[in-house]
Amino acid sequence: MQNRYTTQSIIKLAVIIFACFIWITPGRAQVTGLSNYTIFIDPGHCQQENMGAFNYSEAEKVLRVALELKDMFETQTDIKEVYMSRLTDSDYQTLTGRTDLANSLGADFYYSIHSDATQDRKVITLYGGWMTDGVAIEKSPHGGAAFGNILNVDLAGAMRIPTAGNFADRYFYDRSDDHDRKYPYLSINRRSNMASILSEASSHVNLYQQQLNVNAQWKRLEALSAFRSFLEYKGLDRPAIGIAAGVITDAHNGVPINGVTVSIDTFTYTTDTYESLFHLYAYNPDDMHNGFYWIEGLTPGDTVEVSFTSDSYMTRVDTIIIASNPNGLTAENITFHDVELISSIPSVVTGTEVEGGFNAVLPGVPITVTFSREMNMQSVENAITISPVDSLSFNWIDGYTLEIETDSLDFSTDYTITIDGSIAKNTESDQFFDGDNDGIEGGNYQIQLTTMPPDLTAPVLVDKWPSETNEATEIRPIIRLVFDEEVDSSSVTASSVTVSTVNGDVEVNGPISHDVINDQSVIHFFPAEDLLNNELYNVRITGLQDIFGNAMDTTSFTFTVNEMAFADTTYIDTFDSGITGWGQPTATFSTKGVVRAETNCVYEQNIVCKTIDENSGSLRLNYAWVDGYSNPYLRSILSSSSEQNTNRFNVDNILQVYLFGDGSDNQYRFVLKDANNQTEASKWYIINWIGWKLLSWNLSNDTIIGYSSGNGVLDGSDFYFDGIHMQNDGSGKLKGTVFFDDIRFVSMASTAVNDTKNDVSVSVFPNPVNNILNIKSKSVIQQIAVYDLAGQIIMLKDYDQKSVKLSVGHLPEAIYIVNITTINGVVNRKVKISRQY
Amino acid sequence: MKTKLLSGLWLLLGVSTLLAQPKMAKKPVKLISSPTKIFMNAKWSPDGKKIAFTSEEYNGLWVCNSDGKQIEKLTSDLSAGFAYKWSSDSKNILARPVVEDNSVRFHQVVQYSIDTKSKNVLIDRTLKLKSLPIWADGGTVVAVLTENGIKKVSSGKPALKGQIIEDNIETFGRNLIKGSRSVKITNPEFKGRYIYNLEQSPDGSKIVFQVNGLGLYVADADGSNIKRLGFGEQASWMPDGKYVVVTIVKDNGYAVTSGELYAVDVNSGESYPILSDSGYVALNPDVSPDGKSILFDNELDGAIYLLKLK
Repeated sequence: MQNRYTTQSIIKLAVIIFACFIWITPGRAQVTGLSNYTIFIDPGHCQQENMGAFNYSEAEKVLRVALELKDMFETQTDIKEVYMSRLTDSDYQTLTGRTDLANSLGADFYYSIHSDATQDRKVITLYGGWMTDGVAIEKSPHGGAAFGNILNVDLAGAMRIPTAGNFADRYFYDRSDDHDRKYPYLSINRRSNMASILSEASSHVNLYQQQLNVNAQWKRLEALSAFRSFLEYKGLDRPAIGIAAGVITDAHNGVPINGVTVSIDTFTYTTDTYESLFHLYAYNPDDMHNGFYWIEGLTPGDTVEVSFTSDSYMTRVDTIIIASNPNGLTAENITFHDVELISSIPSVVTGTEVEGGFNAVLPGVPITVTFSREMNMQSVENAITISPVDSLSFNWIDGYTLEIETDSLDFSTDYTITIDGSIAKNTESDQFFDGDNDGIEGGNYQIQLTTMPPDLTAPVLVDKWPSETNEATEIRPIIRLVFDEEVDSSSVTASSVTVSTVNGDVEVNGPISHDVINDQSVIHFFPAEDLLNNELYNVRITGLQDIFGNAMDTTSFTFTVNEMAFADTTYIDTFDSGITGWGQPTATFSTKGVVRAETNCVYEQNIVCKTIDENSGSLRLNYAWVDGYSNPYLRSILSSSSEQNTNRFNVDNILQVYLFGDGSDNQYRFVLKDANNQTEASKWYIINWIGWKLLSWNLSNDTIIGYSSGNGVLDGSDFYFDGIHMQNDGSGKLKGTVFFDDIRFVSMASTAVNDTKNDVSVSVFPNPVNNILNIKSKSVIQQIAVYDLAGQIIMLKDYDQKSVKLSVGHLPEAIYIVNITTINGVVNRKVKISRQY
Repeated sequence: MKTKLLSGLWLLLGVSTLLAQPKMAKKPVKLISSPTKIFMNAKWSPDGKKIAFTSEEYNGLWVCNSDGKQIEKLTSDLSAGFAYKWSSDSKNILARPVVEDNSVRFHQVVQYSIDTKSKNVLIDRTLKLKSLPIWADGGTVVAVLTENGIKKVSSGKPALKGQIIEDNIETFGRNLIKGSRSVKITNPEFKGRYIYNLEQSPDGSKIVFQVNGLGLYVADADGSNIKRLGFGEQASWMPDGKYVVVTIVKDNGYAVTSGELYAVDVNSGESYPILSDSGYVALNPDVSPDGKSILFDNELDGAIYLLKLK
């Protein structure tokens, strides 16, 4: 057996040496028939244009595909000449320069190599052509269509992705059966005077695809498919090849594995690692994986053993037959052998967490333990003990995550929880748990904790809006109440918060919501009806208690409504039917310095801004910044072609959004695209509040800051919403969750000369009033006039001060209009005089 | 005395006009268009009385009067409209069309007659051409670079006034230029790249050309004094040989999105805007023999425009 194997190896070595001899012998190309032929290879774009995911551009990728293809033609065929439109990553070459060059050289064929800028992993080929009476007509000279018919199928097979097809380029962009313009759409097809085609092989923005795109052999695969397709197009026999390739993934989670060594005979290949490649594109060592391997030079038709070895996985050995069908598709000449490997690393605890920390565990709050591998649940439960001895119960979130219930623990006590490494096992490899994390099965894992003393204080209202000092500027203001601790949900009822005019004449109806953010409760009251403008309202809070039954005393506060009236309100997105059109933050290269696994946008139906009828959804943005990353940035793009962005606005409008803050001190800003498609932004808003808050960006008055291509000027009209932009300037928390609802634009109502001005801030209280009416203004009050509802003037007096105490005790009970003239404008307030107050 | 002063003033104004760079006098006028076709690459005849132009893929050639009227098709030959050249007497056009036979793409060298619309095939069906053809020896000869070196063929045109001036023809990359001896390209940056869109100045002393990936250059006709002129393209000389008119092109990889016309001073390298208007993507500029106007094609509507200079 040993001898036979050795003999086989010697024969194979001889074959390889002979093949190499043939290979390097000048003048002996494997493929003949192209000695009078020239091809112009055009890697699309240039420099770092069309940046894709992981900061790797389409231009960089396709140049390397083109160089591989050029090399294949020059080393394997007798082709007369291969021309390239550009040679390096620094070359600059326009479309007209490319076609002028190809035309000057008199090339026989023009092949432009691109990749797709959508998330779809697919192949498209586009030859120069149009439709006449439902029939595709190709430009002259012909050839692009014929090559494309072969290429689009072969590329799809080799790259194992679908093909959208081979199209006349004008039909692809304009799906008409009879075009008026009967000439090619694409510049390279229109201005080249030889047969031509453009191919797009998969995507440079799809994250999975782009992790393959950075691999050199993956690009060689694309070039190989184009090369063989071209030989078929020219009616030439393709040389036999022997290649094994595939993707290696973790058997448990499906993630491609870095650093696996694949061996066949004397050939080896190690899948890409952070150290070997991914450090060029990713900040975190664990951000990129492709698991791709590629071994060529094998003997077609041979049966061989292929082994997969890694320090972290169990070795796997398979037997494969090297596929061979020389004149078949490229995919029929590559042995694709995808494998799953089983981890050889015993399970460890990767994290423990409890609200409030382990020095102050509140009995009843579960402790979460996360394992690196899926665990045998029963064995883990059997392995857990606690000292001093107490009874524990368990709740598995999934095979990796265990919640240890703490209901039975005493207050103010030190405990130790132990997980015994000689009992707990994982499910997949049945290895014992590595409790002491030394890389070897066995050893105990311990959690030290101290329970907190009992809570004896009631919740305290720590933030509210509106308030005595912050007028409500909306006619249906969201009333936000923030407490210092979690309020027991069972104590929050429809009557916990009541809103009424101060005299109690009018009680406002509306739903309330209760959410817990960072261990603090926030309760919102959403008025279901318009409040009275210039009216003083009272908010009463009653019946609330914390989760330990500490009841809060009834409390109340007042606020005034001073409506900022809008003529029109147009909603861009109310999020009531989902988040269609919104891109994930990690799908754009603008986003940087985020933990990808913890950053996403999802549709939310529980935390919703109920400002308008039937409001049923919002956009939930979970985010996490990479610790230590300089100037991290997050952008979730609302597609320019989305239905939402058919709502266009201009410089006369105010952009608004309700943002449910998480008190993280991270920052949000509005960003739009103007008529020049330049990106312009508002100032940054520091998210230092918890709960819903209306943010407004007045496009005619507020700061405009250029972002990316922007110049700080709003050009033209028909602006559209770019998306959600956030950053952490170093003072924000590393992770959090915020919500967005009712993105809209409004236009201000036109106002009479003497009507209320928004920039005139005046407080009039109390209202109703019995005797003394307080009038306070930020600007100097010049005159106060009091009118009855019939318009008759009752009082008139001049002033030169910011605060006035107006005596109204002599006036009969009624409603009056108080007309206040300040140096900044005039405001009117409706005041009720009541002797019952 | 007064007359002399006025004459001096006119002279000064004239000199300053001559020294000033070309500028747009008024908005371009659409000269040649079609609702179903695009027209492009228009070139003035040397006598300024005719305009030749082509269509998509540079297929076919048409000729019309300088006002865009009386359009006549000269040929349908494939690729005839790329880098064609008028004869100095404005009676012929020289081109390198393509003939396909059994999927093989042959080149030809053809001389088209403006008057008779006939064609004279000077070199038929060859795979050995390495350059575009040029007129030489006062139009009596056509020269082209082949795999076997420079080939000259008689055009059949008579010598003007019975004089035949024998041009020295040299190669510059894969281009032919006239008049210089011992042309040498020494710039190491050009290694592995191609020189194209080469245009020789009216007096023959200079050449402008593009190098793929690197941009636009000017040099003396013997290849010396190479100087980079930025990223202008498709240069056309002004009659004074001091400026070339170029287009500065931007694209998105699929379509040309911007084409602006500039005059570039070949001595200083300074460029001066002529046409920068989002209504035009101006390509293939061609300066008229008198230097007073420019033809260009507009990628946006596929029409040929006339721009008056001042």
